[in-house]
Amino acid sequence: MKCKFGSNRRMILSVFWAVLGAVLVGCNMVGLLDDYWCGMGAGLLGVGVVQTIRNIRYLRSAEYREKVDTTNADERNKFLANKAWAWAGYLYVMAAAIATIVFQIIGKQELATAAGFSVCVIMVFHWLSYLYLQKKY
Amino acid sequence: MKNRIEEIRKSRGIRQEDFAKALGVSRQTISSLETGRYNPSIFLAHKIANYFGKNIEEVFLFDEEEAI
Repeated sequence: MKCKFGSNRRMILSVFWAVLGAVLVGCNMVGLLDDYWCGMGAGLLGVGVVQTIRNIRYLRSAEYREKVDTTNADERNKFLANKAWAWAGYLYVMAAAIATIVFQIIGKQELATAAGFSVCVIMVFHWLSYLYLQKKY
Repeated sequence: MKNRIEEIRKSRGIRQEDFAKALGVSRQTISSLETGRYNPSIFLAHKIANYFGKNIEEVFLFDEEEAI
């Protein structure tokens, strides 16, 4: 059985997330951690279980494995994923910039600063990525 | 960019699913290529032309005005 894309590593990671989530929920139940960690634990447990089920299916079903491998290697799929990231980044910057102005107008200084700062961080990351890619290609 | 993928594929009686499998891409990619919504990389274009036993120029119709 030949598997691609580090399926064993993915399996270990998904089980790890599920176990970590269960531990966090358990610690909350015995009163060691507060509800914040319980929520995070439940999220991790859910993601871990779903990923583990997918990984088991990937390892057991040749048809599903072929479908996943084709999807992961498909160049149009990669193109769409990159484009979706670009759109998401652009939309985030626009939304955060508008939020900065709105928060400033309604007197929520801290939120305005946080939103404005996040725009600056994204722009710096974009600039650094561009410089790196310019050298690479 | 216009192409003759659908025309050549149909003339040879190849199904989209089988064509996609042979190229290692999804059926949706073949569909997008045939309708001209997606332009392939030079590697995929080469693979497609090779599969049909043709030159890239025979499968993909380069339009200079479109490239400007």
